[in-house]
Amino acid sequence: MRNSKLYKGSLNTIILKLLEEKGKMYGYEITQKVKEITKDELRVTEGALYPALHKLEAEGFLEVEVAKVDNRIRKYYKLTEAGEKETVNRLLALEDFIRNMQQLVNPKWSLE
Amino acid sequence: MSFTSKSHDMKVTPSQIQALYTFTRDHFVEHYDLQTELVDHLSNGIETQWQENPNLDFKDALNREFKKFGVFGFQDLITERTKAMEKRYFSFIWRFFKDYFSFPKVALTVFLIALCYTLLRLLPAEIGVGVVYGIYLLSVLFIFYKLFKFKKQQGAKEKKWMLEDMIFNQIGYSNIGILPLYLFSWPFNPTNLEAEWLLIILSIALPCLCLFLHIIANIIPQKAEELLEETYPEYRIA
Repeated sequence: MRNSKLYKGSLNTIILKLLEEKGKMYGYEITQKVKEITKDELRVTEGALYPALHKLEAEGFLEVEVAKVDNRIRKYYKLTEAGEKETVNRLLALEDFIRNMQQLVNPKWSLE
Repeated sequence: MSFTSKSHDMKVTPSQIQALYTFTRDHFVEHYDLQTELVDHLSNGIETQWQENPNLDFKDALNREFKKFGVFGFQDLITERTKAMEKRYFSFIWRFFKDYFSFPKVALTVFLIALCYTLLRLLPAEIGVGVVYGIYLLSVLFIFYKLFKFKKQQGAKEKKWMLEDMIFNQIGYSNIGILPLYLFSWPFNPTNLEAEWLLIILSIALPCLCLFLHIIANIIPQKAEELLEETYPEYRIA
């Protein structure tokens, strides 16, 4: 992950946003999707993804569904109702963050 | 052309899946729930590598995939998974505990508290102290007995579920419930027991302690199947 410290705090938001768009996803699919969207610039590491998923699940934001695929059991994650609300809140918070950072880093960009 | 299209479909075989389960076990992933998720992840990674290089050996592909987990391997995952599962276990305890403070079970709770208060009030303080310590000792014995019984029942299972382990093997958590009594033990002498505030605290704490132990040692183990199904949708498939 390039400059991973900057992205670390946003991993949960990335996961929630992806699930909001795709409905349900499994762990490996999430790592590949992030790679694809960011054209390989951002890589979600396995060691960070699963703890984040399990934590969101324990907090009640995600629920799990399983299916047998290719002789093995696959675990899909999807948003719960609480998770949908949380996604909206986190996206708003992230947008605020981006806007504030832009103003700090490049004040001329201000629209006012 | 047909060769390439075939290679695109190359899948991990059932015996390789078994090998992956063994691999996760060898890397200290003890529980079936986490093993299953990792087996699927590793399989997907290996299959992606095969798409680019169909001649790649299974073991080499696996090692490359495992390296992505970093120098500590699955360790962080296990730690975080355990934390998340403990949270869930405590939420189950809380769910059943709340039951005793809502209708109709709250009647029982109020009765126990009233009984405790009346007993401590009416009995001579010396005997009251004995009652409190008696309940405390009985709880400790009860927990040891249960722990021993569950250990015997569980035996060596091949498929171990993390939550199941918590329900049956970690009722040692109950120490958390008993801990307050250590803290209270300093003012435990007949003179202090005459103090109204201590009587009230004890009358509430003792029934709560008993309810807590009843929940972790009786109710939750009895409902284990139900709770495991609720937690793991794969519990029935596996």
